[in-house]
Amino acid sequence: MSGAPLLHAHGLRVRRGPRAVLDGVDVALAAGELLVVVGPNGAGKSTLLRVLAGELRPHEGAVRLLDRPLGAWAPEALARVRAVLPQESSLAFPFSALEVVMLGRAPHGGRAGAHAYDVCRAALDAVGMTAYARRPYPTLSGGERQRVQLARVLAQIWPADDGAADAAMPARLLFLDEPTAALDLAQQHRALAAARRFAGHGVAVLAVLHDLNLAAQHADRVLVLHDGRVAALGPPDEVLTPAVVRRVFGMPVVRVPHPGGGRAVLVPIPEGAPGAAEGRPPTG
Amino acid sequence: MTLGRRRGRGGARPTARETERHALATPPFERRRRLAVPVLAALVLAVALLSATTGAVRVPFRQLVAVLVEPTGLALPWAGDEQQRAVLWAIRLPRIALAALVGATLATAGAALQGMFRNPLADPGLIGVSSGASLAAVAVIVLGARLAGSAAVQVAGPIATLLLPGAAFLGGLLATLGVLRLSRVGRGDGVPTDARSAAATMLLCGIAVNAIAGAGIGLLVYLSTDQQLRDITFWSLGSVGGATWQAVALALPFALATLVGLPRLAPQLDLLLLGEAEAGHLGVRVERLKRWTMVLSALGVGAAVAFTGLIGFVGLVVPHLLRLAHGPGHARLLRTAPLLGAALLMLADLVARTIVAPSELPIGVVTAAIGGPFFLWLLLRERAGAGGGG
Repeated sequence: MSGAPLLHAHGLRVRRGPRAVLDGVDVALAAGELLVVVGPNGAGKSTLLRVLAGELRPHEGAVRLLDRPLGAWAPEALARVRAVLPQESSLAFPFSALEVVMLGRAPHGGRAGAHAYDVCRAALDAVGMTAYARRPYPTLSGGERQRVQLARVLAQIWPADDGAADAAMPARLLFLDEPTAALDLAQQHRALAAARRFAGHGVAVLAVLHDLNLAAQHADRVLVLHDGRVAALGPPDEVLTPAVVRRVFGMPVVRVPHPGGGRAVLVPIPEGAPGAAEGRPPTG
Repeated sequence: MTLGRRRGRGGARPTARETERHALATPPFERRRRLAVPVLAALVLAVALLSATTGAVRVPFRQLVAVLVEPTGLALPWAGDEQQRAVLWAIRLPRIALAALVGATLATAGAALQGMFRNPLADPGLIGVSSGASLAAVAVIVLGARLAGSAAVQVAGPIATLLLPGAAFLGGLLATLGVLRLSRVGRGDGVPTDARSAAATMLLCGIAVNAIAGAGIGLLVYLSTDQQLRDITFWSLGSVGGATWQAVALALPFALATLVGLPRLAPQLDLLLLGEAEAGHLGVRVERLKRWTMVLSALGVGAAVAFTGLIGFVGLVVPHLLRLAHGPGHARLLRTAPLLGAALLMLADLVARTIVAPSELPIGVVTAAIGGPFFLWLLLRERAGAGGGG
């Protein structure tokens, strides 16, 4: 499934005042993989995403996309292969949901571009928002807005439906910063399933998530970020262990098999709970 | 027959899929969208005709047409008399033209700047152009006489009449460039680019520059004589009363920079509404876009302020009204805003020069007096209607 890395970053350092938000991060992102970044608040997850997306220039270190420095890409060319869903977007102007999604097609010629309506429709469908296509964006709920924004970034790098265009555009990347924050349970899984399907089409996907179990269930690899450094990086069941979680989040958890046969799930042990499985107090 | 031809254009009957696509592509505003430009163009024409025929010297429509076609060599049997001809060509038509040009420019710049700041309450004043122009104009009013009096400079007529507009235009442009430059301080290479705070910084720089210009104006007002104070007050309230063809010709190229230049930025301004970072992710060179939006706006608004003084409200309200009517897309907004802006300012000028005839009200008073209550009524109506979530 995973191919050669599309995106390479090494030695990333970003300072904010005296504090290092990112402190020597190395990471590679391959075509067809879903890499999930987790970590406590303030660990540098969003900063890492913004550096990798080319929005923020690091103080040290470099990001290369398809063996070219990210800074050497023309913004227009980058926008055709890389889409970014920010943590929160404020749009106060009354575009309809469909029009918002259509803005995602701007790098491909907008409304006049090939298949523009088909793509936007399919993108709205992928997030379950087809019925809201004509609703003014400001009248939507928080979760509905987030799904429309997700549809917008999906539309930006939607797989072309003819083979020729696909061959001409082999690399695509999708960055999602907490795409599930405002979503209900079913929509969280639906959003990640959509990201997963994109990975299946050869898109390299990086998502920042807070829910470790959501990460465990959908990720190919998980990157645990702690104080601006990579605390662990690898397949979910190797990385999301009780030891790592206790060290990074300062929270004791147990890992139990998924009753339904999925990947193992982490269950927090509240402090001082009777019968805490391993009986050891948190050290960190 | 007609029906058959209409269908023939698209080939066969629309398929179910195409119909559905059409429904998706048809937002609630679609009817108003298609009608917006023709309706507004008709409005502009109607107001222009009304204004040309109304006034102390009445010029009935037939005579108006006769006078208008005269330069082409066509002599109509009901030609107007000498007085009508003189009033139209020397006073009324340049005045209508200047009002239309200024209204169109203010509305278009307002629309683009509201998009740039992602704030429907922004107006051209926020980029410093109005306050910079005011400071320069007030300086000319207060200090110009002293200079001319003390030095042996005997300023020739046409230069003297252009001194104030010229200074105001340059002052406005300089203030805008100052805001632009200040908002970019400390954002050179090596510093992580962070687009999120950029618009807020620019807004604050604009407010600071306005405050500084305000201090300068205050000082000059303090130094002014009673007559100068009166001149300053009337200049600040705006007027198209002194319009000449020369003023129209001088303002035209700068107005065209705004009217032709800004619509070219429309697709990118749409993306900017999502946020600066988001627009950047979609391939927009955000800093360049903001720079062009400000410069193209300042050129037209600077020229407008230079020749007519401060006319508030048009730049704020016109884009707002149009967004309520046909949605926020800039491709359409930047085509409808100049039309409604022109119609509104021509109408305001008509009211200003007829309501207390033979005297005249400052046009800024009229735009605010008509626009304010109308705007409020519209807002409250929209609010009441928005309860249903439509």
